[in-house]
Parts: sequence; C-alpha cells; structure tokens
Amino acid sequence: MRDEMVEALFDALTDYRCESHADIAAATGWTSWTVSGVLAYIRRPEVASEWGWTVPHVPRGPGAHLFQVVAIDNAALDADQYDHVRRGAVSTLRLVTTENENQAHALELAARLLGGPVARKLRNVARAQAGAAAMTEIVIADLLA
Amino acid sequence: MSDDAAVGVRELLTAARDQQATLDWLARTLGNVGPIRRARRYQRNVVEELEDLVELLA
Repeated sequence: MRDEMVEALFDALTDYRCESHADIAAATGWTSWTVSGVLAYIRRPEVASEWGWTVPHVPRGPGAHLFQVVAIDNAALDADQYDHVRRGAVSTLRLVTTENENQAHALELAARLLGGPVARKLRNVARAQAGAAAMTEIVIADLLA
Repeated sequence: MSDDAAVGVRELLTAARDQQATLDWLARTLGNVGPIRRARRYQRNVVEELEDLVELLA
C-alpha cells in the first residue's frame, strides 16, 4: 500500500462527510474495491500504530454512520469520537461473537463423529470458543450500559 | 481426520487470530480494562487450543 493512498484517505475523511464506501470513493476517485482495501489496511493494528490514526468500524444497517479518522496512542478521544468508536466496537464484537458461537457448534458436531484425542481436542477448542463468545457478549453489554 | 479437515482447522486458526487482532485493536482504542481485557485472554486461549489442534493433526 502506497503512503499517498493512506494520506488520500485521511484527506477524504477529514475534508468531506463520508457515510459510506461510495462517499469515500467519490471523494478519492477510487473504486469501492480500493476503498475497502485501504480501510482494511489502515485498520491493521501495526499500520494504525505507525500512522497514529485509524478508522473505526461503523455500524451496519439503516441510519447515517460517519467514517471518521480517530487518533490513537496518546491521543484523547472527545465524547463524540468515543461514542462513534463505541458503536463501531459493538458491531464488530457482535461479528466476533457470532463467529465463535458458530465455530464452537461446528467443532462440537465434528467431535461427536470422531473418537480419541482428536475429538477431545475438538471439544476443548469448542469450549474455549463458547467461552470467548460469552465473554464478548459481556463486553457488548458493558459498552451498551 | 482428512487433509481437508486439517486445512479447515488451519482456517479456523487464521480466523481466531483475526478475532484476536480485532480485540487487541479495540482494547487499544477503548482502553484495555474490564471485560475487554478478559475477552482478549479468552480469545488467546482459543488461539492456543487451535494451535495445539493443528499440531495434533500435523
């Protein structure tokens, strides 16, 4: 990923009100595919740390959801920024929860078909994933409280 | 288990590591306190269990 593309994303999100990938595409002249790629890139923890900012995930579904640059590491978030990040976090955590629940269920089914150490290990993984799903549910509840 | 199953387990491991990275990022953004700290530990446990399973199937 070229630095100029990351800088162009920053300019687009700070100069324009972008509520969708299409808005970002219009502001940058990129395709939607490129928009998704650059957003995914800047959201990688090591990349965001290097640049000092990221773009939180936004909730899906109806309503206006603003794509916004958020400074990280040593940068204090104001109330609006924090709320934006919090809502994006809830959406992201719901995906993580669902993935863990589904994988736990699939591994439990696979374990029933097998015997021996592999089945035991599959059950261990399934239990770990079910536990992780339950824990992210608690994080969601905490963020919504 | 078949080779396909081993491939599937490796894909699960990749997904679990992605989920770990997501939680790490959220913790850095929102603060690594309270439930999110425990959630990261639980997710790390998932990754470790899957790494063991990959080794078992190798």
